[in-house]
Amino acid sequence: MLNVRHLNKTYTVGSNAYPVLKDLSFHVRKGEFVAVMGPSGSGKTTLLNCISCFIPHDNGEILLNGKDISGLPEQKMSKIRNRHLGFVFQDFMLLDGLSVFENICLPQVIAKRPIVQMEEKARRLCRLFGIEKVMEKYPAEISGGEKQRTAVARALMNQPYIILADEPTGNLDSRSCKAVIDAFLRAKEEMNATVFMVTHDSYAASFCDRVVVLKDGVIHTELTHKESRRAFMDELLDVLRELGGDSDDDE
Amino acid sequence: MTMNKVFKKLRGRNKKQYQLLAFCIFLSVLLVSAFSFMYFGPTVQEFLPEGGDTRKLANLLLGVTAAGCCIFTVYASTLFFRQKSREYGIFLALGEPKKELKAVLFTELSILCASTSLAGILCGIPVSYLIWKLFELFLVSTSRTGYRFGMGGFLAGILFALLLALLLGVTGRLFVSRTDIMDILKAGQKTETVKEVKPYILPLGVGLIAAGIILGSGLQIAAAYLFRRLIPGTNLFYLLALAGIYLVLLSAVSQSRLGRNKSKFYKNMVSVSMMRFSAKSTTRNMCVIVLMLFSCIFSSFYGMLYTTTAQTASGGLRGFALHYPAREDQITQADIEDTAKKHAVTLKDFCEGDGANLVISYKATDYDDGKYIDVDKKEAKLALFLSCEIYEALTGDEPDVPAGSYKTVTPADYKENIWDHTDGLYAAANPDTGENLPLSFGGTLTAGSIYAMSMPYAYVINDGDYASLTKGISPDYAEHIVLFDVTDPDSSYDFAKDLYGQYVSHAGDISLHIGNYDAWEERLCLKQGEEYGYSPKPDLSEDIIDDWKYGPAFAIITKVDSLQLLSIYVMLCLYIFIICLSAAAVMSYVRSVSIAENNRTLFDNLERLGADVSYRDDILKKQLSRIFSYPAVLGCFLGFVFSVFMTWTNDRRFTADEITTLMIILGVIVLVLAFLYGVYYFSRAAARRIVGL
Repeated sequence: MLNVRHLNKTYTVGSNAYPVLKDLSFHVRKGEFVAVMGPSGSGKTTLLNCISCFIPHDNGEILLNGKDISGLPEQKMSKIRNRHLGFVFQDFMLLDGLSVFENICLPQVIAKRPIVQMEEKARRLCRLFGIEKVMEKYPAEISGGEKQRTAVARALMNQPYIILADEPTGNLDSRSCKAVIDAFLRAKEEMNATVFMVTHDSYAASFCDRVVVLKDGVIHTELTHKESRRAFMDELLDVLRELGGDSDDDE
Repeated sequence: MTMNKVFKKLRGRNKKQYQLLAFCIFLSVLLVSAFSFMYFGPTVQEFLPEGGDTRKLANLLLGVTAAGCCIFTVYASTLFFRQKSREYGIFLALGEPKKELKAVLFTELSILCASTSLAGILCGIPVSYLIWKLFELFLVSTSRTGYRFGMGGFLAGILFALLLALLLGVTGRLFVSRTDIMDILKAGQKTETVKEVKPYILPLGVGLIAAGIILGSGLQIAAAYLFRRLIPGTNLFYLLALAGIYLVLLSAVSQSRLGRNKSKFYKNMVSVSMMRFSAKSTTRNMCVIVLMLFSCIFSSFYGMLYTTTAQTASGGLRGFALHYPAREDQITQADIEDTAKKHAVTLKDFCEGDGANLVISYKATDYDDGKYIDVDKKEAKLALFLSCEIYEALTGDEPDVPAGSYKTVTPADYKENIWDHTDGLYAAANPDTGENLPLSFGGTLTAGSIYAMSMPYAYVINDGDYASLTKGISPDYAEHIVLFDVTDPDSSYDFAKDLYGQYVSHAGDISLHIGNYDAWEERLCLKQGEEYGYSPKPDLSEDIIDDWKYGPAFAIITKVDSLQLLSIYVMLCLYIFIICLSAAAVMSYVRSVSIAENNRTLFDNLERLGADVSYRDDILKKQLSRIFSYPAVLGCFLGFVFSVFMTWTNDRRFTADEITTLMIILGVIVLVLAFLYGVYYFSRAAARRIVGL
């Protein structure tokens, strides 16, 4: 579903160049729930922003469903973001002036899809993620977990090839965090959604099928969820400890 | 649900974002339209001579008004776009094409501009009428000065609205064209830092402000009087004051060190830190606000100065003064009385008499090659001389001038300038016989109407001296003087105009000379075979004859006719005042809201750290009060100090009128500060909502 090949990205500040992603290659299969972890400065958020095409990369390929989406003209990129990519941000990025239901409808409103089906789908997603009771409320009136579940529902509206989530549990308490992870898992199980999530939260990552661990812009290791979630989390914590310090990241 | 409905709903929920921009567009179009309705109205157009300086000045004023309005409206639009940036970032991330967003933005801006501009243009009509009525309160109102509406104002208002729409369109296009979603999503979060502000910055800034004002406004005068030299480019010293303002504000914005008063430091720590993160832009912004308020105070000072000038323009001895060559067949006392009767005007203090133009030798100051030099002008020109007897008959005052001396006639409250000296005359001569009499200075006499009849001054000499000097003089050098008043000057305009017309129709060739004409100078020039520069004749067919040596001085006409120039100047000042104050208010408001938006996370964090509402409110209050109080106090203070300096350096003294003007300026400052406090209150309420207090 997502194929990243030899991706490079360097930030330049004045005359100094800081390579952040170094010849990075990996693959995410359809229906897979993949997390990216790593210590501060490892390039997690930069990787996500490059895949989203929010920032340009220096060279390499980003293939979405077999097609290279890097360097596309603005109009085509808009279409891909709307139809084939779904976004979930750490600070939710909901429009405060729209209700929960309207926020969820937005991707299909932009795509000018038929209204009846759109509303039906939005209601279904609300039910699926347990936010049907707050459907008519505005973002300011609901909890953080509900906001993020709204964002997940919105991301799924156009059945994208992949959901790109940037620290989706970063601003949430543990209960809300579990609710959001459940939302991703339900999307994966019931809609066969593919999720690519940047996180520093080992607990959240322990629910994933696979975790890509970055260090200094390269893949340090890849861990696959084989046994119990608890065992996978211990394995993750061991790797992170080995890398030194926590994996807090805001690059 | 469609995109149109989504945008409609967002507009409904974000009404406040549109309100400020709508208000600024409305105010801008209102100001320009109101000005245009007046300027293109028949009253002003008939007053202003084609191609004259006043018309040029009015055009300049229209341009300045339009430019000022554009600046503060575009500035307000930056807040509008900043508030929209998050919304647009989300739309772009969700795949809405930029083209669609541009179309929506331009539709919104077009509707906003069209509706508010229409309201502005329509409201411009009553506003221009009210402003005109305000002028009439200060100045004499006649049928000629009544408000008349000009259709050209509509066109100017519409053109300005189109220009504004174009500018906003360009700003909007730039906003949407920012290609990087990351930039848009993080547009409100960019912060800057400044280098450490050293403790000496504040005193240095204060010193530079003082030096700038003193050197800029005082050096020229000091050099002229003390060293008798003209120093070019002293205005450049004002740049020192500008640099000083920046340093003072920079210090106020970001300097806070742990000194003796630790509790104060810790109390202000958070609010100062908020300032530090955006110190450069905050300081720049505050500097502009200081300059706006400075211009605001200074323009009101100038406006007041013009108004008091209008009130005192006719401060001569009598309201009606005539002087003309004695050989001229001019209107008589009977003609004047008949005309007064026709207009139901009652004359009083009527008196007339003859004086003589004698050749004078005097000392004065000239300017040559960058230096002021003393010159001895021996038998250089003519000046009007009166005998004591005639002077007493004309003015009712006994001059008491001993033989061999003279008294110089000045207006009331006269202050000598650098060029002419009241005691400069040392001899007078008969232009025909050459009879010369050395004279010594015996003091001054006050009679504004007579002072205005001769350059550099009119003189009064002893009756005996007058008789000996005028013995054998040809009647060509004699002048007839008529002075009188009316019982009700304000209703004498039609009488004055009638009399003026009669006077002009009686004026023959011997009266047709421009103000600087001097028969003796002409004689000297011709003798030396040179061309005389002041020989052109004035055009008596004009309604108002500006430059006529023998032009009647009728105070009521001067007062009313000066309205044309004065109204333009006062309007200029009033408009600059309104524009500067509006700009300062809008900029302060925008800054306050920006600071609240940029520091939303900080307030959330403070709450998480256990800061209660009153603590957070106190932080916000301190922060916003600095945004308002520093520029307000500095701008008003500098405006007032500069006004005081200008008043003093003008003639090195303060007259009663000038002191009154300065007192009124203090009152204006209080009003400006009260207005800014209102804006602060409003801004604080908006900021409190933003940070969730």
